[in-house]
Amino acid sequence: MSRQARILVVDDDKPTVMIISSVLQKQGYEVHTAYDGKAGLEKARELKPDLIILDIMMPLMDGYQVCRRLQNDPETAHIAVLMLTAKGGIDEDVNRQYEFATRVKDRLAGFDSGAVDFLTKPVKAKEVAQRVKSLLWASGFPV
Amino acid sequence: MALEKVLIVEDSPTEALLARLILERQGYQVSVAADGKEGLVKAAEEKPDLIILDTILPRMSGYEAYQRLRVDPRTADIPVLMLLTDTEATDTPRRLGLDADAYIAKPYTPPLLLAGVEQISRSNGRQPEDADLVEKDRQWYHEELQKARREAEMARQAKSEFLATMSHELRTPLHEILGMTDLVLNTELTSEQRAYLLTTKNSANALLAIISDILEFAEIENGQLTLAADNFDLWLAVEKTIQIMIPHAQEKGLKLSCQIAPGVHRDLVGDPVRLRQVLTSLIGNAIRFTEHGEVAVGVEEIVPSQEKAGDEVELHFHVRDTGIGIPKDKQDVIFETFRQADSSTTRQYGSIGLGLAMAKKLVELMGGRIWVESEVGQGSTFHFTARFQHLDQALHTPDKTTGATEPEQPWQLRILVAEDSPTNQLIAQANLTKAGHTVQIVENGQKAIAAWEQGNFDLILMDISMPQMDGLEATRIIREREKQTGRHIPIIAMTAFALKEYREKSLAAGMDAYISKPVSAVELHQAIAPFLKKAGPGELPAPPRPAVDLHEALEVVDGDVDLLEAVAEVSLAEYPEHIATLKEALACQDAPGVEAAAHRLKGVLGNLGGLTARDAAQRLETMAEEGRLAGGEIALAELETEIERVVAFYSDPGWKQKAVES
Repeated sequence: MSRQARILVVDDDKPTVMIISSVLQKQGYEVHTAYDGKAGLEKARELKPDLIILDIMMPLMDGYQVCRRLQNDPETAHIAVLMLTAKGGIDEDVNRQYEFATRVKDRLAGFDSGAVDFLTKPVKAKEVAQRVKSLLWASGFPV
Repeated sequence: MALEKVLIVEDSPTEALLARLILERQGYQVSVAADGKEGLVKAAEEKPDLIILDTILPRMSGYEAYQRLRVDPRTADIPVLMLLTDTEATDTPRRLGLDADAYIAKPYTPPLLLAGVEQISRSNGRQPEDADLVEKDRQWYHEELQKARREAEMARQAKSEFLATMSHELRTPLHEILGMTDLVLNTELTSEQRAYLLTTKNSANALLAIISDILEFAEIENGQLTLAADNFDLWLAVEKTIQIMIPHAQEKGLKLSCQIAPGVHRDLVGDPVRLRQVLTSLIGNAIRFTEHGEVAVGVEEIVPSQEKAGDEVELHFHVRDTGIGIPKDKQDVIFETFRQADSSTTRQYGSIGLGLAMAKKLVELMGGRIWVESEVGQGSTFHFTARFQHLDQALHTPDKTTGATEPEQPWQLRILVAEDSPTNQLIAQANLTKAGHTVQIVENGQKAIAAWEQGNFDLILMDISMPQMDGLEATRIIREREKQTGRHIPIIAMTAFALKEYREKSLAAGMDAYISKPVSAVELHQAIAPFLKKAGPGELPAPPRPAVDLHEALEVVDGDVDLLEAVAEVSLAEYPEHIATLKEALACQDAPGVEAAAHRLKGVLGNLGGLTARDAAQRLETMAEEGRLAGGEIALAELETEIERVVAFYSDPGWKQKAVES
């Protein structure tokens, strides 16, 4: 495979989309964006990207729903999904344990719906680049 | 040898009752001691055949009690079964050099306790040469232990799941009740109907708070709670707590003051959240049970008897009120779960009495103890101690130039308010005097300068637009004249213009901070809080925790400053919308709405390295997630203040230079 990997970034948080797409463009990937779950799903069907970076909490359709629909469609079932989850514990969190449990819940639900990996928000440029690289490599792209 | 008499040393009444019932059903004769010291006395007097000893006990720990039992010839031969909490690793006793006859992990089931007791019973009567039987016993016990442990674990999980489900099941209809009540409150009503509905709403809110309490208490009881070991600033932790409680005190017309003794270590390692929780609980109680007068909080350091050059400090906190007081014979029971001095107080003052039991557990986790001194009708003083590690060595290596004494905190400030609007004058005067400050009011910039020159003020609150001479001009003149004395009085701008350029102008004129009008009590206190702990005149206010962690922000964009600038621009253009959504959701008591909006803000702020602001958003998100919207306005005000600081940071073009340098 010599073509550049095509990546779709779906998040309603514009600054986060900016950061991720800028990082990925610097790596030379072909990057597309969508700002809600429904638009994300439509673009995924139309563009057939090699990888989707998908936020969980979004208007119109949340990340789990998008993921599940992608999985149920033979046309898109092969696409790797990297899910964005929020960071849980903070230093002043009175309910640390509860928080932690919630985050675990997020992750389990994500795996259930078909995501293959997770990125914690706020995202770090280096981590995004590295994680995407590994995932693409796993899907058959040369390093 | 058959066992007959068993002594249980256990401080939790429920646990003690449980153990007693289990053993009495098997025909044992049981007595109970509630702490280590009482346990020693009863052991020597009653000469039981077996002692069941809890490890975490008031006054004297189970470990210490065990050592003493072994030393005392009257008790040295009595077998001991030790109860370990599941947070204590099973190898703890061995590490401590203990050799009790059996150990059981809490929470235990009846068969497990009986197995332990019977094991001791058998081993005492056993012929030592019957090795086969010993091995069989050991295996049987091991299997029993495994089985019981599995059962206990399942029971615990079931309990946790039950609590989680219950609280969810209870919250959902409660939210509906609250939502519907609000809807009806927004319609036209007679004042009578409105009053009834408001009571309904208050009760529902109180119920929500109780549910959260129960959940948390269950966590503590389960031993799921461990303390953090974070670096924190004692002053800040205490001050934040006081700030949150000030509006509650004001509502009842009470004065809330705080005094941290000079020389107390402030850079500590421990769990500030739990410390604040205990303080909040005690201050909240004090306010609740006081109708007139004041609530005074104090912190002192307990000087160790020997000059131990350790890095541990023991602090003594006390909360004194002028409230109803607690009768002598009830002073012990108030720390027990679900107990209050008088059940009628629940009706009059609300709450179910979990607060103090929880405070007690937390204080014990912090290596301290809690007690009360009280006279009926005179008021109460709640004391607790807690141990922390400290970072600074200031006390042990005195600084010659300053004498190493921290200045006392003047919580009562002399404040000059320059403001031309009579309404705003009234609001400022009322809020500030209620909080214990003395206030002088002038109506223009010229008079402000004159008053400043004559009077001895700690702080000036300055309106921007005033007749004759505006606040900017007055500030410039004051700052100019200060150059001769080298002093710097904090000046806070009060502005009706929520515009960035006015803020920049006020800072350029030499003001230290700004707040927007109409000035709310919370906002005002937040703005002046940094100055509250400042020593007298002549000192600049200490910089608060930086609004933006640039290092963190740069990591997000991998050092790309231009990208960060673009992100900041988009984020800061977007955030007012999120705040508006948040406010609207909060006004409608729409918990999921608050959660979603706070969540989005958290994301936005996290990208910018606005860590304190992000944490504030996280707090609000967590509150909403748990359906606790009661303190929502305060949390929101805190969040807005923090966001303003992030905005200010990125509005100053100098940040890019700093970013490039770092």
